[in-house]
Amino acid sequence: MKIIDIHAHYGSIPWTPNRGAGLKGLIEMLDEFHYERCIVSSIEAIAYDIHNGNRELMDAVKADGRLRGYVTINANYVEESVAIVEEYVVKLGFVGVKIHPDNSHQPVDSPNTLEILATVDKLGVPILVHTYGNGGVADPAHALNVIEHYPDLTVILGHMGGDNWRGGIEVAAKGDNTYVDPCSCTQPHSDKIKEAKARLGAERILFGTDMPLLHPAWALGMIESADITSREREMILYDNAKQIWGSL
Amino acid sequence: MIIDADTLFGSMWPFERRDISLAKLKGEMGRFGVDRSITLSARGIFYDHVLGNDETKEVCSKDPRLIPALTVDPRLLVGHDEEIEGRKLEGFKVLRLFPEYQGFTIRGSHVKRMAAKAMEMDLPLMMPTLVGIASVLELLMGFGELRVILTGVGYSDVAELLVAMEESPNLFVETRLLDSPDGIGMLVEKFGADRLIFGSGSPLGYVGSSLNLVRHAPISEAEKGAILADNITRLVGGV
Repeated sequence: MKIIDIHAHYGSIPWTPNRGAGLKGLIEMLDEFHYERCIVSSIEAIAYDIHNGNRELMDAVKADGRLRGYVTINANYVEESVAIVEEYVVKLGFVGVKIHPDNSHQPVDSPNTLEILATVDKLGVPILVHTYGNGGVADPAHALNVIEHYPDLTVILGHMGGDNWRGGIEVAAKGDNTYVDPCSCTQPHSDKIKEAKARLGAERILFGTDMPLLHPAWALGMIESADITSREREMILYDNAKQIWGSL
Repeated sequence: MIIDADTLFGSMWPFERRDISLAKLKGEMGRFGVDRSITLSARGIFYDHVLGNDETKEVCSKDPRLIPALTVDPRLLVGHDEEIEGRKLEGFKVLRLFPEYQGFTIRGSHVKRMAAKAMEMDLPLMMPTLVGIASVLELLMGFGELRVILTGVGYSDVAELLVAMEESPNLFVETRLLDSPDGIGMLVEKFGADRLIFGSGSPLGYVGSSLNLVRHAPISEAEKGAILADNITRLVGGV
């Protein structure tokens, strides 16, 4: 079973005891689950310093040919974020942009973020947005304005909205280039993938794991357990990402 | 052998249309190779615990793969001791509490009285982590022989859990949401495998994901076997 994980991280995880957070742990996971590709973003860049975090991620990505990078922006720093996006996507080959509204306190449709997204849209790389909850800065509903402003931009709703996963699915249904990734969507509802497929089609679901914060076995279990066909499983685990990223 | 310690069944999931039927539970057991399930009727959670326990008893009596768990709603209080004692004698193996649906605190004196009865009857108490690990520890400290299985322990609970498990040898953990890469491995290394219990929350939860966490944990096959079946068997005195 070929796997492309479109939602993973690199760096120390200070919120929980976790010995799998370094490069060694990450690579062990890639080996164990026979990953073909894994697209990672820097935890430090999300939580604290976009400069240092993205730079360290660059080194990690170079260390293993299966890794690809998302450059992380912080919408409180518009000019720096635009410059970072241009540097990492154009010069260094990163394949997308990671946006984490909970950490910057800037929703994905804030004026600052929309300004940065003009550059991302021009460069034609996908964004992976952390979406979780209902009514907060990470509410997937904020992505509606992004879809409206940049209809050609590929938007991935990370966590599928989390505990607001039905909201996430509905937002994804509004855009032609909008996808969901159900990692860390651990609320007990064993029909989530089935419902997402019914509303969006299997071609709009991507496989992400949130590793090494979470064990890939969890998200893989969701896909393996889902009431979908084998072909749809292959699409979610691999083909849909290839469709978006091409050669990757 | 796989024993799922955390399942339920019923006719209706009141918050939305969900299939929590007995047929669905059994279907999931067959699909994932689960040999036994400790289960109870959702009627006892949301409506009347006596009627629910009756239903659990009837269903489990017809299928040896199903092991009965009882529940008691502390808000009712009247007749608790008799219900717990009677159900234990009928073969119920675990006492489950559902404060997340019934809205009580486990620090209440009425809950403590139930805990005392559970301890007297040698019934493990099973409850969700959201009651607060500190409150569970307080309960365990107050009742020396009481055993508690915490369900739904997530990665953000691990630090507090590590300390609580040191403090009380009678604290057990269901593995369903121990979903960080070494969540299970770390606990096994520190405390041995004996205090981890496999559960999935089926048919609401993901049996495949829960099983995967154990199967991919960096522990021995014997330790996996303990988590998947042996520990809960020992804890409830046989299934």
